[in-house]
Amino acid sequence: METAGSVELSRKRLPPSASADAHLARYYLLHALAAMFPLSAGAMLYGRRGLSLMALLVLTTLGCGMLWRRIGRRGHALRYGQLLWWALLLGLMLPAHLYAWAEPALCPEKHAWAIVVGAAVVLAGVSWAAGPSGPMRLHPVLVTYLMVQALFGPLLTPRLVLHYSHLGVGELARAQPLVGPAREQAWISDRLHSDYDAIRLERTAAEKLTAYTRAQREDLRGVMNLLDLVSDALPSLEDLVVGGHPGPIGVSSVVMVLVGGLFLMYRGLIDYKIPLYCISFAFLGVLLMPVPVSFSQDTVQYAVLLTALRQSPLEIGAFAGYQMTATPLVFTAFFLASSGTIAPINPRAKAVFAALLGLLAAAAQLYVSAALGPYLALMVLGLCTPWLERWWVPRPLV
Amino acid sequence: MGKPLEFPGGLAWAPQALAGRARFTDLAGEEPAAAPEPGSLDELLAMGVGGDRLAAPDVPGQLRRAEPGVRALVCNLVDHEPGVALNTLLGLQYARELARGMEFCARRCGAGRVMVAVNASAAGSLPELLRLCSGMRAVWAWLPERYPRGHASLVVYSVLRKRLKPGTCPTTIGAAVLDGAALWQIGRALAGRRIDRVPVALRHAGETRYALAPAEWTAGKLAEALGVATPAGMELYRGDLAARVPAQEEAIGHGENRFHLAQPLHISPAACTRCGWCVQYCPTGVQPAVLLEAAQQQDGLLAEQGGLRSCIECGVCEHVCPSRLPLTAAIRTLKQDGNRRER
Repeated sequence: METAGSVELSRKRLPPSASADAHLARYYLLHALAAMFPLSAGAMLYGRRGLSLMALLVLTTLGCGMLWRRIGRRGHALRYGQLLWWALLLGLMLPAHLYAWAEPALCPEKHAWAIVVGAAVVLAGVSWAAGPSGPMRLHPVLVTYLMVQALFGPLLTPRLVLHYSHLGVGELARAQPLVGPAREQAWISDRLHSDYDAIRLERTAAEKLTAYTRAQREDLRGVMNLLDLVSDALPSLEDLVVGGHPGPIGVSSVVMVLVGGLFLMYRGLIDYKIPLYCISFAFLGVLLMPVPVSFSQDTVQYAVLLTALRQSPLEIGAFAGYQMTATPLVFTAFFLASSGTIAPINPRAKAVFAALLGLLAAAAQLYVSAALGPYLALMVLGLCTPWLERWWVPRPLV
Repeated sequence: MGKPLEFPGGLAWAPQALAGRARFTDLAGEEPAAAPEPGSLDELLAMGVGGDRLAAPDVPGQLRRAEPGVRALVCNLVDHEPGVALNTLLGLQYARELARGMEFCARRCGAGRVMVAVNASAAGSLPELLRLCSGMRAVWAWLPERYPRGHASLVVYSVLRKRLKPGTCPTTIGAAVLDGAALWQIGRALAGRRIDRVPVALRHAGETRYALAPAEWTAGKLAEALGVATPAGMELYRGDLAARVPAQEEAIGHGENRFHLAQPLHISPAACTRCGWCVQYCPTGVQPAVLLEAAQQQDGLLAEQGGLRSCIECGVCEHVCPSRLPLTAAIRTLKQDGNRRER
């Protein structure tokens, strides 16, 4: 068949094909390829548990999708490629220890694996209920995750990660509890006993950040000011960037999330504006919003970090860095916020959306929860997308 | 003039040299008896200069309204469909006629400026035309190959930096836009020939054939005369990419003069994934996804917000859509509904 002459799209684009289904399948396959980067980090950091959880989630979602496709007109609009992509995203947001059956070392809940299956069923159902992607402003993955979080919140907090000496092959259940200052618990440390494969932390960096910014002093012993927090209480930034700190399967390694996101941008699947503006404005938001800088016996002193930047640039820079890396902000910016299901479609509205998301995410991280802040912010802002599209209408060229 | 303005979006393509020694095949037969040279635009129009093409809308209407004078005459010699170099071949084979047509129109319209828009890759192919036009002080705009650059609205935007809504006469913004076919017809008339044939191009199986065909022929008859069989499952369209309009019975004299023999596009509308590629690649900044939603909801206000009036129906949105949505058809339906409501 003669296609469009020799018109060459940018080589990043999919070539035109006769069948829409093949075209869409390849479109979502490219998205799935981008997810392989954080997934490979997850496989290394969480071993077979991480991969098994992903497989269970993806297969269950696709199986449920097969059933939902038979129901009504909305069923016909469900695409396996889209379900696969959304299942991968949800899997990346869940902790690996959920893949457990009566293993108290991993999870106190006997049938933790059922949470994964339930999440998959809910995801397929929400995808069906949301209908075609056009008018939808709620991301099914976000809705499902927050629902699971609301029901099983404490069980979803990740506390385990494989030690670097047992990457990919270790068993998450054989974890050595670490006590002592966080800085001495660096992931790269060689202090792991030979009987253990993984490390367990009682408090994650996100929990400590939330306790600090919400001035929950009873949860932060020995932390009197910002310097104490960033230099003693929190793990090294390198751990968070590389992934040596417990977190969700695909979110804990910020560098691999970045690589996956850059792949999406390179292939033209997402607009660079959204992650760029979101992360930039979140960084700015952290500097502009009041946070505790010191605790005395009865009072908490708040300050806007930007005003103190000259006096303590390293501390403040480190604090902002922790807010970027110990939270799912980067993952949200690249993989969730850039999705067409939730972001506006025209460039101006996209830029405004991303900037507002960054600021809202910063506020939610600081004052609600560092681990959930970006998700909550995205959920709220997604509902405003129709208005953003109406207010920021681009002027046509002619 | 300054550097021509670029428009966002569109589809870049690699320039292709004219295949071998491409020439126009004269299908119109013997030249009839000579006609008196027209002395005015009215006499020229009476001879039958025709055409309402995307590259030159409503040629007779423009010439009629241009008589009091326009500020700029834009000679649109841009070939924006890959493999179809109709204007370039006209400039190569009939440079004299084109130059005469340009000079006559510039003088009669009282245009203060003459702008000639051509493909950048055609620079080396038109020495004769360049030489003949040197006395007119024409300004040449060498435009990179990008679909749908040859559309009158985008040419006016690129070279005159003005906005011309699709479907409106260019004289409303003080310009006249004539394409190669119109200028060639005028040039022939000035040489005492009758305006009874139209330069056309027919593309099939990666090959383009150029012909001078009688103005009253249909596209189907043209294909037959060129010996291009229409295999089962293929149809004649005007317009490339997804902006195809079935044109088997379309008369070539007063409409588009580029035809494609191709299979119908397989439209299997899946749900819109809101990938945003249609918005990103649209050359005029319209929001095709919003227009599709407006068509589905029959919402005229949403259609206006989406930029319906600025859509030039180039088909780029449909071409890049991963869901193969029938965007161009939806936009055409919206426009028809809008026109019906206005009447």
